[in-house]
Amino acid sequence: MIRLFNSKETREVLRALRDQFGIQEIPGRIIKLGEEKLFLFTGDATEEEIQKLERIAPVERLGVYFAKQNLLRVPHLLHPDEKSKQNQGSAPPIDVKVSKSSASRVGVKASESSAPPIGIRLSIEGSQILKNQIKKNTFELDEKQAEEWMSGRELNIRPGTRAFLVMKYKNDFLGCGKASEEKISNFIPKMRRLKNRDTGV
Amino acid sequence: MKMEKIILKQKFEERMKLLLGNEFGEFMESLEKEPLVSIRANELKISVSELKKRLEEKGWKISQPVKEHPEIFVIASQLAPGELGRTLEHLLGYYYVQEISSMLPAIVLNPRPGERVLDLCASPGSKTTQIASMMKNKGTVIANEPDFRRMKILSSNLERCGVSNSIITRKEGSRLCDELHENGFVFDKILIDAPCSGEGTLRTNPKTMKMWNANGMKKMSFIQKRLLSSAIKLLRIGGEIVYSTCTFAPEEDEEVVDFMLERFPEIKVEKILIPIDHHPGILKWQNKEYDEELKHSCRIFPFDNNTEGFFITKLRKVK
Repeated sequence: MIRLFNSKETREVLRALRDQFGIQEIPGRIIKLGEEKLFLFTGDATEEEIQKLERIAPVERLGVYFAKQNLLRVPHLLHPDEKSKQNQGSAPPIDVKVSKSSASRVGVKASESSAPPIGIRLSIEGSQILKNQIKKNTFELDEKQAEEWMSGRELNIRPGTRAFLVMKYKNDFLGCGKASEEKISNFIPKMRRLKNRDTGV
Repeated sequence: MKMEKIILKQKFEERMKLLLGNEFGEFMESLEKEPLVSIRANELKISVSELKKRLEEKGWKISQPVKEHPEIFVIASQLAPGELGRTLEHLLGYYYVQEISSMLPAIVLNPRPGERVLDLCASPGSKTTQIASMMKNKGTVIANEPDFRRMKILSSNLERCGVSNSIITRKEGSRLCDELHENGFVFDKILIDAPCSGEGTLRTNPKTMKMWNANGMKKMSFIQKRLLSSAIKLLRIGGEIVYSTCTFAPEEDEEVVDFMLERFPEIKVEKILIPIDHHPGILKWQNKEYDEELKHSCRIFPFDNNTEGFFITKLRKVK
């Protein structure tokens, strides 16, 4: 189901993006499809028109997939319906050591705890759209690493942090990886992976 | 470079002789040549000059044959099979592999930032991504594709190219138009790159000839008329529709537009500027004569520019 974020929800996403990557502005409206996927819509169709369109035909996509949001662990980012769903026990409990004060700083505290990172993971397009605003939590790849990354492999290196990192090779922004103690996990979709070493980076 | 010989069905050959007259020999010769390999720089993600530099650093020989559209690249190098779709630049959405003639409908439509555009038969997304690029991701483009599997391909291409002003719908085209009309939607521009018998793609899709039959054209012509009739109602006054096919069959080209002109007096055929060699629309086919305005339509044959064949018309709602 398609749901346009209201201004409060958009502010929450922006706050998370600011904390994680230093982003100051989201250049469009945010739409949620499914449990976690966020889409960025820069079209000028109104919410009323979109709802009308949904009654006319199956609306399969709006805008571009730009991020995945790990909401289940972060109560203040949940929609009221989802909060009540989670309270009923249908969603996993919050399992990250997030104190009351740190709950509003998604992604940053996570890197300081021993738990996996939480927050927002940018897609390839998300990282490209926001590239001029990304100021922190980036990981510069060398040529060989970039090839490994775009082939869909995890990188067996010690990134020295636990967070979602924007992967970057020269001027190319290549989505986010999940940094843990000894590796950076890869989320490049199969269809976007390099299949031939001779033709890549 | 010579291609594997395409064996034409007799009925098809007779029709092409009738259509082309003394140019038929050129048509036959063109079928033995490899078509141009072309791509379109996706300016939503990279500048034309930056992409050109990157591809040239790979050793690719690139020319930009259309002065007004430097985003159109022709690749002169011999590439390995599938190489165009395997590069990092392609995976990151910096270019779209697209035939030059297939780029023309969007060029003729000329969508601008802030407009409302409907791309009624959108998959696989070559023209939708081009439209969004011309609109600089501003305004809204509704991209429709009734088939679920093809819609997934459309969605994936739109994502790869960073199209953020699109809404993808999945419904049979004429029904979608009827319901959009009933709900008060209007559009500045509509593209109907209609499903067709595909005669213009003989070289790139040799299956076309195996599937070709004269009855198929009649069926397609019916579908095309229905699509266009429904879409015309959605245009604002002054709005434009580009109707295109990749077939030579007049039953699917001029005849469809002629039918519209007769049925909808509020539409006129617009003169169009095509930046590559082309032929005007025909005014007579077998025992039928078409409206004089059809001379403003454009036909592109493979021997004009060594591309696929295409038919393009632009209609404007004048009242």
